Amino acid sequence: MPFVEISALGKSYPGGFSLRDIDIALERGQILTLMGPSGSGKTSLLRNICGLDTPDSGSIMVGGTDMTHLPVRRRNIGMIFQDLALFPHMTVYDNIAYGLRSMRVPEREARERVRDLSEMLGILDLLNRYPSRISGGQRQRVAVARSVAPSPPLLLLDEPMSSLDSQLRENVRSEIKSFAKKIGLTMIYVTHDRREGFYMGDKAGLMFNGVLSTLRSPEDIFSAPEDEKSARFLGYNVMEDGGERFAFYPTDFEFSDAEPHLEGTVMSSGFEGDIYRMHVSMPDGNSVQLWLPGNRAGSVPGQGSRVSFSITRKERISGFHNSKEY
Amino acid sequence: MAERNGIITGGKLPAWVFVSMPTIFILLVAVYPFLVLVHGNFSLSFFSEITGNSPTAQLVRRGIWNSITQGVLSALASFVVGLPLGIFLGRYEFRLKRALNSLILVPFFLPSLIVVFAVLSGFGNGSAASSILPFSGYLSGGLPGILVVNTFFNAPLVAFFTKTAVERADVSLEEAASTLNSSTFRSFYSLWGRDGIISGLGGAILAFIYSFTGFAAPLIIGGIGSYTLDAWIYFEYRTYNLPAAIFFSITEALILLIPAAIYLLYSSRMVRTTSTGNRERNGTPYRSLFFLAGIAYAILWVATEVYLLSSLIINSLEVRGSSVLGLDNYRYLVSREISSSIGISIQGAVMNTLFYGTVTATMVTAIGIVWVIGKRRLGGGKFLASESFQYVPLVISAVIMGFAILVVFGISAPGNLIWVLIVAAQASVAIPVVLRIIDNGFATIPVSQSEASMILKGIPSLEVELPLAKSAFATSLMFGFAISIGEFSSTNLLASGSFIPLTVMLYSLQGIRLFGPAYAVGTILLIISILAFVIIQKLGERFVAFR
Repeated sequence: MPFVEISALGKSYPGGFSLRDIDIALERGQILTLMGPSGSGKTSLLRNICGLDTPDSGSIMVGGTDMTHLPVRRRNIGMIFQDLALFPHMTVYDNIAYGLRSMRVPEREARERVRDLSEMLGILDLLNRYPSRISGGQRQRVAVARSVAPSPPLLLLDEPMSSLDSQLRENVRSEIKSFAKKIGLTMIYVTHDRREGFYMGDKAGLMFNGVLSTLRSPEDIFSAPEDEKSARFLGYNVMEDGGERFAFYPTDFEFSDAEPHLEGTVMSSGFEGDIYRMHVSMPDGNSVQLWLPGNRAGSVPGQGSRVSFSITRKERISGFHNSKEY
Repeated sequence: MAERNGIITGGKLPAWVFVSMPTIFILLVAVYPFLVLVHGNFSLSFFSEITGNSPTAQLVRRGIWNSITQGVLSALASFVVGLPLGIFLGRYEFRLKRALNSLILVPFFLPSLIVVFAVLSGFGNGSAASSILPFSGYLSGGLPGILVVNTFFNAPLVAFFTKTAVERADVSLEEAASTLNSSTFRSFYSLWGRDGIISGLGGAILAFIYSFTGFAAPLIIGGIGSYTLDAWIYFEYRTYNLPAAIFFSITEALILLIPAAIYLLYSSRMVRTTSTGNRERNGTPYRSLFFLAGIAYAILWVATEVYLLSSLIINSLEVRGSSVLGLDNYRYLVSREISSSIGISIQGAVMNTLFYGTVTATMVTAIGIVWVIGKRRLGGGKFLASESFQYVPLVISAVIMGFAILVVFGISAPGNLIWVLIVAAQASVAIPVVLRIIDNGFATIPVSQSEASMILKGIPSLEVELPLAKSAFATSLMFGFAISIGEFSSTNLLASGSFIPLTVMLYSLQGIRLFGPAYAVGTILLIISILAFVIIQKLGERFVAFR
């Protein structure tokens, strides 16, 4: 039996939005990333798992315990919020010790636990400071330490790095993953950034309109998108050719006049360091993105240029795996 | 149990109970007794006493006209005087701002009778002001005197509401406007000052209601001809014409409902420009004209306040028929004579005042906290109907409310429990203001912090929300205490003998023309009010967490 098993979870919210038939199976120590656009239900799902919301149907089992109807305080599931929700009137030490004190852990044990975690996360010298007096990355680590201190069987992270700049984000996500693996933490990590999601997860799932796709490895999800929405979210171009919908990744093309080829007009192009990104307007009114890797100064078609290209690898959109209706 | 399609089943029942607490309290203390009184005593025949040509009808219309005039002019004056103070305090950060803020607020925390006696002392015959500026005597009587009293009392409320909203204005919006070539004035009225003006208007509506329902203050300073509708209701009640008193109290409620409803509707639809970030405004421009004008205006206000309140103290020390100062008035207060003429010793009245104030402030704050926590647990949305209901005690005549409480509960309550009725009446008057303060204080706490505490098995209300809203907590205690010791109409009706507090003693002393001792009682009330103000503010500062 999986360590975390969520079966057929459903929840309706005022306003018409609902989570439908959510199934998740996760082994101990695994990291699952949930990706999807804003408003797709990722946060709602986490709220149901940790007990802030109660599902209308389905079940939530963690470590063999049925948590479906347990109140939030009795679940012992950790959660890191998007805004981190550090208590501004408490020092870093008090924030981290908060959950331990709530569990009536003797102060000496709590102190040791706080010190151990702080040492592992490199925030030992910040314990007497207030959250407003430390940097964004340090706050992130404090939030992790606070959530992990009571040793939750499962930690939920709700886009915790959305407020960090890209450089810091990469460092912190690497630290969180390494920390989680070191202590064998089971995590569900929510993000709308697919690169971050792929990096963090042993397994990944995509959410659209309250429905979660089949969970697969990040590599599987990326290389074979289930449907058009997934393909678009993952950065694929979606086109139609001879009545058949297909997707191709922006790097899977070559400039060529040989038949069969496609033609379009470059609307804009620019250098992003590792690639040149071109937005090409197609005759049917749609636009596609094409990425040219490497540094090709002077040789990339500029705005208004006509380009001919052929697709080197296509993915058919329908018939992949067991697609759900979003 | 769960929440399905917005219909809450058992799981959130306690939160609904919490949210309903103020409504239940108001229903029990204000509405139910009022309806009991109305039932069997209501008659439309008194309508002719408003529209007819009889001498009584003319007197009634004069009472209504006095109320409207005093209410509208006082609200306008309070808004005009209080708004700049609030904008200045909300806009700028500077040394001693907190002290200045507290000083500016002091008059609202004083019973209106103290303000009346302070104005009489400061601008009346023989005052320092009248000897330097002869026209200032004009401000100690008639309609001008009433306006001075009401403005001095209510402008701090307008300033407080304005300041709170201006402080929360989003700095980034203002910066965005300046990059769009917005003028300073446009940025003010459309962005950072907008919420302040609207909140200040809320304060002005309260000023209108308090001034419209003024009872003792207009009679003392304006003379018998300045009687308000509330005073007329009291007169009808005292002459045993209960149906007429009830009819006019309903008329009063209907008049008061109009501005209250307009404001509630408007403010509920208003989109705020409140900050969601934590960016701070750039340093204060100490040399700017606006700052200098603001500080000058604030100092003028504080100087006026200090002058008026010190005049009261000096008057309390004046020995009748002599130019020297002494403690004769205070000696009279501790003499046995006072007990025989008023029915209670000064020590007893002081203890009663402190007791009612403490119990009322604690009870109303507790109700407010329970309510706001319930509201947050239910998602923090607007509960317009129930929130509007909280204003009901403001529109029911306090005289009638006091009498209704006495009739419905007083008959069954043992004589030694009359204090419960007094506290209940004072608490229901305090609820509308105190709940708004608590609501504003809690509104700035992100819901995620309460949820994080819940997930970590903590007690979010005690460990996170109350410590973070400590300032609102202390302020609500202050307002609760102030409204309790200032509430006069229903307290005067309910309290007799050993239950009399200082305000009723003060009114009784001036009624039997013992002005010297009345000034002394006013001074004692002033000291109690200021001490309570300071103590509760300190309490708010030290409040960190329960654990």
